[in-house]
Order: sequence, then structure tokens, then C-alpha cells
Amino acid sequence: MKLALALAAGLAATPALACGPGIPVSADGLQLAYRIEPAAAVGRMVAVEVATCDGLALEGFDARMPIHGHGLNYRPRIAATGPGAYRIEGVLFHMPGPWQFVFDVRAGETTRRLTADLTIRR
Amino acid sequence: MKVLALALLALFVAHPARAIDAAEREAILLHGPWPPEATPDPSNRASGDPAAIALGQRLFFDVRLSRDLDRACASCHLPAQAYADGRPRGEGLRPLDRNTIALANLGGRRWYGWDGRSDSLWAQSLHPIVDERELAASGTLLRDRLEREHDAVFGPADDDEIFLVDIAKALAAWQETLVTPRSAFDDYRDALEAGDAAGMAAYPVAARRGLSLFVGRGQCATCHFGPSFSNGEFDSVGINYFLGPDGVDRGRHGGIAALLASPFNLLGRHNDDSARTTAAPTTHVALLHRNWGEFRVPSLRGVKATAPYMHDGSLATLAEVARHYSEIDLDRLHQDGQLTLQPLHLTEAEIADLVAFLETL
Ligand code: HEC
Ligand code: HEC
Repeated sequence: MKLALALAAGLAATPALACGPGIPVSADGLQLAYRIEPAAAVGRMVAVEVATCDGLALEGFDARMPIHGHGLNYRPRIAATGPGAYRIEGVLFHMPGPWQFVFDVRAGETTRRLTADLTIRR
Repeated sequence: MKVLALALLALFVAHPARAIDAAEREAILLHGPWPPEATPDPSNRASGDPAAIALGQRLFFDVRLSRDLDRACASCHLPAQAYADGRPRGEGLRPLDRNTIALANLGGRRWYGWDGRSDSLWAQSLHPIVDERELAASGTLLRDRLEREHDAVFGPADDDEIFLVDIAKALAAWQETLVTPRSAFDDYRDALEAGDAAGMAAYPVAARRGLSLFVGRGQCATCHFGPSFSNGEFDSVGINYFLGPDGVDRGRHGGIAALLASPFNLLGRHNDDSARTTAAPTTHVALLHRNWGEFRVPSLRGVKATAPYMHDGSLATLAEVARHYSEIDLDRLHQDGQLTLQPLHLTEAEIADLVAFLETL
């Protein structure tokens, strides 16, 4: 019983989509999930692991601070690591505050931009 | 009810440094703990090696590193001046365009120099040896003069370039040991973390008000972030970057170009770490138009001792720096969107508070 509750709590903390672990992002039925590795921190170079659903292809990525009008000082690179799995290297949040991830995805003939808001505190 | 209000008022009056809310507490705690844990630099096999550190220390003061045997690193980085020189801009064989950077807390950084032209401390230490305006020497010259000392620590070098790099690595190994001591701010920060009221009360009230400005309305901590009071990146705060009538200091823009063209960057053959664990910033760094006229966000540790300030040494005192931010000219900044920097229109008392705070770092 206790174990079941603990499991449920764990699931609620990182809601998993069918397509992979991480924080879900979706729009118009298009879905992906991302994880930051290691944990995000100001001034630490991290990677973003992305899992896409339903054969969605990840074609572009960026991170920006909308309120400051600037993006990253580094150019991240996307590498496909498996079916629907990508690893984006070279992400460095250089200021604390609100950031936004921008994922450009392709489903068949249509391309679409998904965004995810996140706050970097420390 | 009235009694309670009065009691609260009394409490407030008794603590003029005012109450700390949770957000401010968190923002302050982010500036520690201090000192940071020292980790060796994997790109430098001399890092942490006692024999190399001792050699680096001797060489830093040794005029044999200069072509004309007349100057050393310590001619510009004076031990009695926090390893800076107190001048607006460095003076070598010829005048330099930038302020001599005080040497401290150099381990584990991503970038070195005002423009971040070096991705390691050893590469940064090599520049002044060969720069025609500074020591104007060369690997060949150093090998003639220093082979015995070098070989005792590193063994024989395959070529003059490796010899030069080894000397720079010994200099770096020693410079890594220069760390600013714990400060009055650190004692306050740790007392705050521990809930130690007596420890907190020992911190000057003016500095405490300045600290609130720094992490609060001033938004200084967005750039001067973390225990070293720098996010390690580059920005423009409206300091002039024109040099005379037709010159310009490109700042970070030139720094990235120099970095990528350098045979001494972490992607090259002199990186001792075959896994290239610290090279990711160099691999990914982006050259952007806005890098024009951007300079490194300086650490503020020990800043009281390192006047004058800014990349060109154009501000003589910390009060001038505070006034600069207070009345900052937004037309000089080429940022879009909501700016981090806004004229703060500080009163003279607030300027004094900010300075009192900076002096405790
Ligand atoms: C002629 C004066 C002069 C001499 C000699 C000199 N420096 Fe410097 N040093 C400077 C100046 C000016 C800067 C800032 C340069 C810049 O960023 O453009 C600097 C920057 C540095 C930095 C960067 C610090 C940081 O926080 O990024 C290091 C490290 C350094 N010097 C080490 C040395 C060593 C080691 C030597 C001797 C081999 C040396 N310097 C000789 C003037 C000098
Ligand atoms: C947008 C980022 C940013 C913000 C916000 C910011 N600074 Fe700076 N600071 C810098 C940069 C970049 C420099 C170096 C500029 C140059 O040399 O051209 C600098 C330089 C300084 C220096 C000089 C240090 C030295 O060794 O020369 C001090 C002191 C300082 N800032 C204090 C402050 C204070 C106090 C605030 C808040 C009122 C503040 N800064 C806000 C980026 C920032």
C-alpha cells in the first residue's frame, strides 16, 4: 500500500507520457517530453534529453529569456540517439529567472513550434 | 490586537536592518558558501602538483620571462595590490587598452580575460609571455633560459611550443592557489543560513541595506551571480568601448574570434585531458552580433582592493560605479526587450549603502 502511494507520488512528480520520461510539452495533439541532465543550474552546461511521441521529428531547439530579449550564448547541437529520442548538448543558462525552451518539430509535412516555460532559480 | 501591533512595531524598530522575507533570504544564500572546493584543472597536468606550483610561483616574479630581462608578470600584477596595478590600463613595453585584472579565484572558470579569449588559465597565462606589448618573449627564448628548471618538473619537451605551454601551465598551477579569504559578507551569509541572530547582528547595518539593494531592486545579482558574484559570462553595462577617434574594442566579439583561432584552446593538442571534459563551452560558444562591446561580468570578491574599475579602468571608485548604474544611459546599451539594467536613481545614502556592501565582499 505504502509502496503504491510512493509510486503514485513519484509518477505525479514527473508525469510520464507514453513516449518517454520527463516533463511533457504538447500542442495540437503533438507531444514530447524533456529532461535536463544534470539538474539545471545557472552557469552549468547541461544537456536536454527529448523523447517525442508518434514519430514526431525534432528539427530545431533554442532556449531564450523572453523578458530580457536574449537567448543562449552557446549553440546547442541536436543528436538523434534512437527512435524518437534526442540529446541536445551545449545548453547553458547564464542568468536566473524565466526561460523558455523552443522545440521545432515535424510530423509528416507539417512543422510546428512547441514551447515550454521553465524557471531557473539557482 | 493593538498590543500585538505595538509589539511588532517595537520588534521592527529594534531591528532597523528590517525583516528578511524568504525570497531575499534565498537570494542572499546563493552567494555562498565560501571558499569553494578546489578541483584540479584536467586540461593541465601540472594543476595541483606541488613542484609545478613552486616553479610557477618563482616564474611569476622572474624577469627571464621577458625578452629584455626587464619585467615579469608581477610588474603588472603586484602582490601588494591584489595582483592588479592600480592603474586605469596596463603599462607594458607599450600601453595596453584594458585594466589589469586582479588575480584571485581563478580555478574552474569557463573564460579568462575581459573578452574571454582564453578557455583555460594556462592559455591565458601564455598570452602576456608572447604579446609584443607585454613580455615579448617566445618559446625558443624561454627554452634557452629555463630548460633545467622546466625539465625537473615536466621532463624534456618535444618542441618549443610545448615548452612554452608547460611554463604557462606551471604559472597557472600557482595562480590557482590564489583565493580571496572569507569576508564579513560570508560570515553574515552563514549566520543567516544557520539562523544565528548574534552573528547576523555583527554585519554593518549600511552593508546590510546595500545587500538588499544588490539582490533586490538593483537586480545586480542577475549578472553578478553566485558565490563568486559573476555568472562567468559577458554583458554590456554602457561603458564606452571606442578607443580614440578610429579604434574600437570589440570586447567579447573579438574574444571569441581569438579563442577559436588559437592553437592553445581546449580543442587543440595542448589540452592534457584526452576526454576534453572542460571543452564543451568552446565547442558550443556562439559568435553573436550583440557580443560587440560586451565584457566579462567581473567577480566582485575583494573588489574593494582593485580600483580602478571596469574593462578600461574608467571608473575610479566604487561610488563612481554605483553612480554609473544609478544613472545608466540606456541608449548606450544594445539590448532588446525588458532590460535588466534600468537607471536606479539612487539617493546619496543608497549609494553609500551599496558601496558599504561591496566593501564587505
Ligand atoms: C603589461 C602588464 C601585464 C603583464 C606583464 C602581465 N599581465 Fe596579466 N593582465 C594584464 C591585463 C591588462 C589583463 C587584462 C587583459 C585583457 O583581458 O585583455 C591581464 C589579465 C590576466 C589574467 C586574466 C585573469 C582573469 O580573471 O581572467 C591572467 C590569468 C593574467 N593576466 C596572468 C598573467 C601572467 C601569468 C603574466 C606573466 C606571464 C601576466 N599576466 C603578465 C596585464 C599584464
Ligand atoms: C547586465 C549584467 C549586469 C548587471 C545587472 C550588473 N552588472 Fe556590474 N558589471 C557587469 C559587467 C559586464 C561589468 C564589466 C563592464 C565593463 O568593464 O565594460 C560590470 C562591472 C561591475 C563592477 C566593476 C568591477 C571591476 O572589477 O571592475 C562593479 C563594482 C559592479 N559591476 C557592480 C554592480 C552593481 C552594484 C550592480 C547593481 C546595481 C551591477 N553591477 C549590475 C554586468 C552587470
